[in-house]
Amino acid sequence: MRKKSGRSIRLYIYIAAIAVGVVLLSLLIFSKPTPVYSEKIFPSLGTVIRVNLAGDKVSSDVLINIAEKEFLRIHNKYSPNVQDSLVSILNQNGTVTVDEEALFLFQSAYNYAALTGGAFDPTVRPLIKLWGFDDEFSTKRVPTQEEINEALSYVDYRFIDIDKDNMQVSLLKEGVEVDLGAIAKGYAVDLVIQRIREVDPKATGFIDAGGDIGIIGPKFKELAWVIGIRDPFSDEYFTSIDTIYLTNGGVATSGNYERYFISDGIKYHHIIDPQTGYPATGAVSVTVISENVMIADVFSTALFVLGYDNPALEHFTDFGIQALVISPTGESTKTSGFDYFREKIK
Amino acid sequence: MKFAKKSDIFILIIIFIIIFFFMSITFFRSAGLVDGAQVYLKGKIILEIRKEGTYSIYNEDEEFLMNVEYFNNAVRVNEATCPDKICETTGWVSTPNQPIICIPNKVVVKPTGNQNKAGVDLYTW
Repeated sequence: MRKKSGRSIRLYIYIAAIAVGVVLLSLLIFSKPTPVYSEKIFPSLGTVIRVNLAGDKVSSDVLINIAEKEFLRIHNKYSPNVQDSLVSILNQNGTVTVDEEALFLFQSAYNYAALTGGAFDPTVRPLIKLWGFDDEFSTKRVPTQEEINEALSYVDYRFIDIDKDNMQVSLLKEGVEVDLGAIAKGYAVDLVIQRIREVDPKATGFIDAGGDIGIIGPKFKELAWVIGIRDPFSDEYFTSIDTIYLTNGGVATSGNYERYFISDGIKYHHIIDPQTGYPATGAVSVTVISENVMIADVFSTALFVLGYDNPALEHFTDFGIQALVISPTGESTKTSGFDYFREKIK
Repeated sequence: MKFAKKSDIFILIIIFIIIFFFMSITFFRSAGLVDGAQVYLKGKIILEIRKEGTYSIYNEDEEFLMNVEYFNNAVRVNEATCPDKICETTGWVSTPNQPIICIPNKVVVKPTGNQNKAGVDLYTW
């Protein structure tokens, strides 16, 4: 009788162990993290856009389609390299009639130029062209000091006149040219995120516009996206100097390694200081985190120009940003709240 | 009452070994290894790479743009015709989370594989 009871207990143990095993294996083999992300990569705004999305109520492909069309619209409307864009018309004719959206963008560019003391300047295009950074196929060269001085005479955001009443933007000096590139990319990311949220409020994913990143909700609806900050001293493109974790908002980085050429052993990169006319040398990388990608985009450029030795760095947190600045010798400085984003949230 | 015999413990150990074996397979299967690449031209997929080798990429006018190499679970671009060669200097990429981008030629080489376990999701640069 006792022997039979012992056998029964052992049998129950075996059955329980096998049941646990089967359940565990089933969970491991058949469970898939939801939602499922779709991705599309396409060229726009002078860079490559990577849209990675998972819809909640709307198909991911439909949302990606919305994103692609919106980027194309912004590109055609504001790129100085598109013949009939508002910026091209402004640069050719000296004046252009704008709609509400363009008025907002021009006004934002002007305001941020004023806020940064001209470190971010939408009229820097004559210098960009002179160095050959206006297009991938332009000849890149070191201009003479005379050429730089001549181009500098056309660089000042105060040459832009915005007439809100008549919805017109004008240039106050012949030869001045505007380039909204350092603000339009971030604006486009923000706008696309807004559109996606209107259509599918619970969609999650990210938009990566050449390193300017906007987050559309947490990964798998619960995890932070892990974002590596490129190491400016590494030849490997995908080596991180630091890692941040975001569940929303955006981040942008300006670095001296993005677009550059080497002449007589000296590296000349594409972020031109509007005050000197030469590539800014005070920093090698600036990463800015903000609720808004447009703001991150603008301030990453401005803080790069202002450099590592910027006593007012903390002051810029008043504009809703946190920043990490890396000097040419490898030291780093950051605003007081930047470390918050280096902590893994979940 | 004696709880279990030697044979019972032996069978339980066998069961746990089997579970551990399947867990290991599942882990390594999703460990973020690159298992090929997709090549995009102007946003459209023009080539799916699944086997190791060197693949030449051409545009719509049959002009050579670059070679894409896939060996040992890593992808790189070589002999690109673009002026800046940024795609070439990107070097070998062994994580499926990061595409190789050639802006002048409008080509993106996207390593494929399970992205979920690949650590960094994306890079700001």
